[in-house]
Amino acid sequence: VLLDSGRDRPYEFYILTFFACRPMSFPQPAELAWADPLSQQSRDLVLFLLSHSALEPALRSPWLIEVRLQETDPPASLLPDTFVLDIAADELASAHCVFPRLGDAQHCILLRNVLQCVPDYRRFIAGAFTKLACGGFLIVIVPHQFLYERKLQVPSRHKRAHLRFYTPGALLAETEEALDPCCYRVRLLADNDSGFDYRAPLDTVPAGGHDIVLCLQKLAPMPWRAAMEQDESQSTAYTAPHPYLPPYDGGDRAYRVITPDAGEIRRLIVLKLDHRGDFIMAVPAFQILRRAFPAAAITLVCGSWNRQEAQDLELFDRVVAFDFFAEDPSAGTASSSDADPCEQFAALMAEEACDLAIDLRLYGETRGLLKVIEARHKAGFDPHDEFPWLTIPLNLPAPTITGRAEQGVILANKFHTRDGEHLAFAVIFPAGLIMAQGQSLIWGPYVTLGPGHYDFEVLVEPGMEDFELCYDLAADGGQRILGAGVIRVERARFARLTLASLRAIKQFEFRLMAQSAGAAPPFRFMGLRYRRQGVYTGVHQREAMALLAHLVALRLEHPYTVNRVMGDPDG
Amino acid sequence: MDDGGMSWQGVVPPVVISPFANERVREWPIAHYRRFIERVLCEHRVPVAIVGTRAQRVRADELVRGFSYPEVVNTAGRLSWRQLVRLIDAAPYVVANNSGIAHLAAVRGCWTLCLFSGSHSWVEWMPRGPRVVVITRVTSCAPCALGGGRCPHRTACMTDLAPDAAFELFDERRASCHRDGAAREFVTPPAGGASLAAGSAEALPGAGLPPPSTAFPPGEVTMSRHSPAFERRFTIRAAELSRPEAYRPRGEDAPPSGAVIEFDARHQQETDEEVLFYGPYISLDPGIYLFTPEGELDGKLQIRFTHQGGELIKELAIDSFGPLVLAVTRKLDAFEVVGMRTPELRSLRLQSIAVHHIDPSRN
Repeated sequence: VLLDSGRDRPYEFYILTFFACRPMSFPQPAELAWADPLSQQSRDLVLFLLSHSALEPALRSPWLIEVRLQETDPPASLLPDTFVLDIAADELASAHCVFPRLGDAQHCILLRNVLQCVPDYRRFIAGAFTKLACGGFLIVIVPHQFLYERKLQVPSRHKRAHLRFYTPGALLAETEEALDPCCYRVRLLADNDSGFDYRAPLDTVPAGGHDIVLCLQKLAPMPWRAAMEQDESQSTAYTAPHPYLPPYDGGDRAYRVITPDAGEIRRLIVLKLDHRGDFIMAVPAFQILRRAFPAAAITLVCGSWNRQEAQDLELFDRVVAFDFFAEDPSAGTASSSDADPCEQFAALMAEEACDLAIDLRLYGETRGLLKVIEARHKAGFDPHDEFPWLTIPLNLPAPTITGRAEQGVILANKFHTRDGEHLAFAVIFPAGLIMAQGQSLIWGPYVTLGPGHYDFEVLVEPGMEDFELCYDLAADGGQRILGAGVIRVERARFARLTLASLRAIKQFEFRLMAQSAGAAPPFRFMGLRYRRQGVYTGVHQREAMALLAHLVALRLEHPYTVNRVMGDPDG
Repeated sequence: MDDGGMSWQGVVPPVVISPFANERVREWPIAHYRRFIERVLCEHRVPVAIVGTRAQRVRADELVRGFSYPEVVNTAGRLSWRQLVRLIDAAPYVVANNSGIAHLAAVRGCWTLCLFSGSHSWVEWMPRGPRVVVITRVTSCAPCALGGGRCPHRTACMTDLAPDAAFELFDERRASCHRDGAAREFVTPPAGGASLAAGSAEALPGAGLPPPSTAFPPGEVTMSRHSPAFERRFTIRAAELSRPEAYRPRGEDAPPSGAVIEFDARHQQETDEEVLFYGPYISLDPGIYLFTPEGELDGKLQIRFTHQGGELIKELAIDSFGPLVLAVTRKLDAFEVVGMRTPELRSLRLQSIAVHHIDPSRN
């Protein structure tokens, strides 16, 4: 086979000669003969292509499209029987526009040393690929960064127009960006260094191959491709009735938009209306607020009994007295006025618009006063989401309340029995009952117990002599046993049990069971006495108020406002 | 600056979009991000950089596919954390889900749009900073703390968060904050951003990766409500320009950092190569450019501004180094400054070219 597109022989001869053999048999390198003007490097490249059987189906194409730079020298196409699309230098920015000139369903398109000069590689690759028939081939040939360029970054030492350097990984990465990975398979990705002179100095263009060759084969569209977009974590298919309420209630389809608040904090009102000790404990919080807002005008509203101390602190620009509480509740000196304190306070604060208002009382009685103040930001304790209008709520638990000890008795009428008899507040088990071993005698009361450490006293008395019964403590209606054992039923004292749970116990169950088979002694069950131990963890009042002050300072470092904007979910 | 093998030089810093999160339920759909990017390209006329990890690159490919390069660049898996921070510092704004990138952008004072899913309470987890806009859908099922589980409502809090609405709400809020003075100081990069300056490049995370041609410049970007024009200054160093083989010492790869381009007619009479230097193949956005060569010039030097491999924009001859004005009316890719010798050129010593870009149409 003579590869010759030279000056002396007609190019058609070259085409015909090679084309004639192409559908029949793939030429072996030894069968090739060369003629100018195909350069040695191009010849090496052709040999490289022919040496890869993976490329055989592509090169056997009855029709090849070669896309290259117009300035390619020599002008011969790499392979015969090739339709050449030249891209001029001034067309590179819109190089992808050359492909619409091509008909659809091409069998093989060869991008020969052009990709590295095209700014928009993504659309260029995609543009070529869309012109392929299913099963068609896209062959991309680019200079190798470490064979041709031999530089770490642009510009190229040889060609000013080279915008990017390529390694096989880089070429594949660009391809993956440009093409849906479900629409092609990689048939070949290889470095061509045949005859490359590895000793050539950097400022020369070394002899030999210095390319990367990538061959993709286009696949038919996958029927599952669209479904792949629906990621499984995004939705759930249902076969049963939908168990959930819709995400939009009452047609309120809104956006919540949180944006920076431009306003500064110039005026600040602090409420500390409770008693002398409370006021003393609030001093660190006052100091924090003053430090956080050094230029703001701070007004303190406090009980009249604290007014002088407040002024002596020299932290406030103004101190206003307002007696919401009595100075001494134990003396019964509550205010004799029948007027609503909130209305009184609203009148007092009518001209007191401010940027920030804070109520430092832990409990919520005074929060209503905060509500009537005109302020952009309102801060206070709100452990139970009682005051949704607070813009800076601190849901800190109050140890005295959330950690308080609880005690009581669960009377026998809350328990169930089969063999005993409910009588007033007791369950009576008469003498002579025959029981199986482990038979349940008492069970219930299926109430929820909060987390904590519990002490129980089983209120059970023997009718005659002392004896023993089995018991267990369970959660979830008896499905989860928390504890079990034996108690002695004695006339002199009630049996005691303990239980600790870090989580709430739902459907708490206590059971009494016969320890052995046979006639059971008579006894009386009156209920279960319980006590949850108090918890002494948490923060001190002084610390809690300081935390609120710090929270306010931190929040208003980057203040924001929240707005609801109505909008259709579809846009 | 280097960004994962990219020498960003000479283009407007890109908007950074971080479309991923640790949990899929927190992610805005890719289709929504695509629409958002279309609006950014069309209306803000700034490039976009997609950021993510190497593992997220395949999904980032899905996002960038179909968009032009370099209008939309996929940097997923190619940036070190430090490079990412620089990218964010320079960005006009950052768009992200409830993710680490949103928090990073927020604390660095960058304008940040956070598309916040209903999986978490926004009160507790939203990014906080001086220029943060958070948008959530008001849904009665939020917060659900769903984590990696399946949402029975096809993640309505995110799929129903429409991209056009998000774009417009963000734009409007950002503009109103400028008017109201919330963004009291709008100068990027903030503290530390000066590390974008030329010469601060660190080792590339993957030297084998191809450096794209376009890049945004080292330098300072200033946008202020007090000055509505967009301004940017950067420097093209001599090291970023190429020299024909005839004018470079044999074996020299490229001028080392800090090098100068020198020509002396007395010693280089034997060559007839006219081109003395060329480069740096950057993209230019529309606007007014002042190019001020720095160095010494004795005689007449021919300067050609070209793009796209040689298309001439402007040509002029100079006999001293002063500001050269170039009005760019449309985006130019592969922009090149070519210095050519003339018979009257006696000597040249070029250290750098200072560039001042003003775009009065943007604020």
